[in-house]
Amino acid sequence: MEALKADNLPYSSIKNANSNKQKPIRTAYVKTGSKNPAFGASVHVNEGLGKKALNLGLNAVDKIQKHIETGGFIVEFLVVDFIGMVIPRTYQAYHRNEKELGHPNYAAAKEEFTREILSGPSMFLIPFAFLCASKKMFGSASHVKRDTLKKFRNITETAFKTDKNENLAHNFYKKIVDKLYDSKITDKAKEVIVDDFLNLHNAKPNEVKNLSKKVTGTLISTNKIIGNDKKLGISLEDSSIINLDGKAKNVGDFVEECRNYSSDVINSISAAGKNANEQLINQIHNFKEGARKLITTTAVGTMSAFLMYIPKLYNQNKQYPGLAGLTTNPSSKDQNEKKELKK
Amino acid sequence: MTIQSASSINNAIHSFKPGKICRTLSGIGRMIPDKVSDFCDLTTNASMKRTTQFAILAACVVLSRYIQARNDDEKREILTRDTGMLFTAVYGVPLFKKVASIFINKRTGIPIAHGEKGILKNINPEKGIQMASYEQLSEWLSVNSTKSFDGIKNGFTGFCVNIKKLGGNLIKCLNILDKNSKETIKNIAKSVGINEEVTNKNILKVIYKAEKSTDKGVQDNLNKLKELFVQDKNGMNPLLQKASNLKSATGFTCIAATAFVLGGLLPWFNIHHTKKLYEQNKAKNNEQPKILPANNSNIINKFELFKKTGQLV
Repeated sequence: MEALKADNLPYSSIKNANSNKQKPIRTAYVKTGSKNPAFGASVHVNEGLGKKALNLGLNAVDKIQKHIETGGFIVEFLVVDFIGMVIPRTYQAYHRNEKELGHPNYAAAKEEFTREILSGPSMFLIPFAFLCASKKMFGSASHVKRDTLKKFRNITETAFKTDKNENLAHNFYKKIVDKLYDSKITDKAKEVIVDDFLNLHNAKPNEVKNLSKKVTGTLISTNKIIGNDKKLGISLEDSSIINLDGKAKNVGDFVEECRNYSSDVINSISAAGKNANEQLINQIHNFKEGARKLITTTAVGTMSAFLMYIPKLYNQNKQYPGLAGLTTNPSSKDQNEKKELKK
Repeated sequence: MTIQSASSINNAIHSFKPGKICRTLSGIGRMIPDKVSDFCDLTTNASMKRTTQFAILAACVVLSRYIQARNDDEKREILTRDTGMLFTAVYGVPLFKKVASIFINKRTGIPIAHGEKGILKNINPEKGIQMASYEQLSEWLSVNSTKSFDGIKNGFTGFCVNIKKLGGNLIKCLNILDKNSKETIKNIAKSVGINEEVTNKNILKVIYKAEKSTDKGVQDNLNKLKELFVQDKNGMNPLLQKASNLKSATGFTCIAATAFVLGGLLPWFNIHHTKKLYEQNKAKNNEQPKILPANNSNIINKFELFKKTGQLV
């Protein structure tokens, strides 16, 4: 494939082009009185109160769903858990056997609420708390997945061997970009991407978000220009996927991992200056790998233990409150049968 | 731009000197087998793999609650309620999204998912057909400006090839963008020497030939088509808006269906089923005293109980 021109690459140049963009043909928005083009969600229809209401409703759903997706799986799970489980289940438990009891079933509602409010959120909040703590205790590189950490380790070792500790961050990112795009893009184009990565590497905390977006955008634009390349694992179908040494990753996640790694490990090696050697590199990586393994395993372990302990928290009543009002004898059906048999 | 070396920046604060406790903890971490830590691996958002999630829900939620249940009724309710939850959350919702994506694609011609088709390839919810993210939809179905096509391999043709490859029907997609697009395509086809009717099968040939053509009229018409994909000030075009709405409607349906099944149907079933069982039991108990005094024999009473319980007394 023809090598790509560097001028085509920067995301910013595409963004700048927006200012000169032509407006789309507005005829597309005009309903001509013909049939609804397809089922259900017809949009951009300017007539009829019902359709206006439908459009408004759909757009509202669209906005909510976008917020949920932006928040990630955690938000999606919590929203589903709270709206779909906590509220309706507590409501049903509250009214369980209400006629028989002559009043709402407070005990059942309390049990149901306690169980549901503890189960769903704990599955995310506990691991999340562990990850936050790991950043403080072991540095941001402990947030990098173990398989990626191994690949980064190899790249750092190669970069260190090539040029000792001079411009380590630059050499590291140069090697990363080489691995990502091989010879599909020109050296000049690669340098533009390395520049973006270095800006992110050196960014102040308040700049990280914007610069991450910029690098992500540059990588996606590069993928789009390359189109489809099986060897590099790049496809127009999903240009937000990148491939590092055979491991496919989401571009956004990869950029975050790069920043987490380089701002911690690369800076630590660089800080050692002339004292840096291969032993130090090994020492740092072993430390980070051990930390990562410990954090993920204990996070999942703690969460599992807590989930197993939840019944102890909601089983405060000796008798199952779901049976309240169904039997005059507070004991269970089994006990009733046993008594019957004894007779 | 000059490239700064990281080694010259913020050096003083980044030397590698972990504390004793951290070193010990990391040492303990290194002893954990790789398979265990890989099973427990987390994403940057603190999410687990779906297989891990399934295993933990099955062992630590369903089984643990079952063992700690206070009586048989609670055990039965746990099995109904939590096994339903396990399969709906881990398999049901992704499966629904896969089916909905195929259905929407067939009905509207808009691609809103990607990935391999086939039952075997879709058994694992994380593999096979995946509903696109809003970002992906925006990349597939819109551009910032007509110049953005230059940043895509093979330009506008490459952009259209991708839509078709994803299962999209270009004729339908263009029709959603503009009702008059059919006429524009017809004109282009005539100008590039294709006299047959333009369908989804040969539209790429028309676009490819039009891109190669130097004729001003053809280029003008082609530009009209290109402009249809350009985003408005809200970052949308009618096609992207529709795709986005369909995706949102699917997501919303999933939440509503989950709420209905897990929050409504299963607990409702449990409550009513348990109630029914107790009512039946009560009715039987009320019948019993009438039968027992009639048979004033201890052996007959025991036989009646044996018939009821299946156990010798």
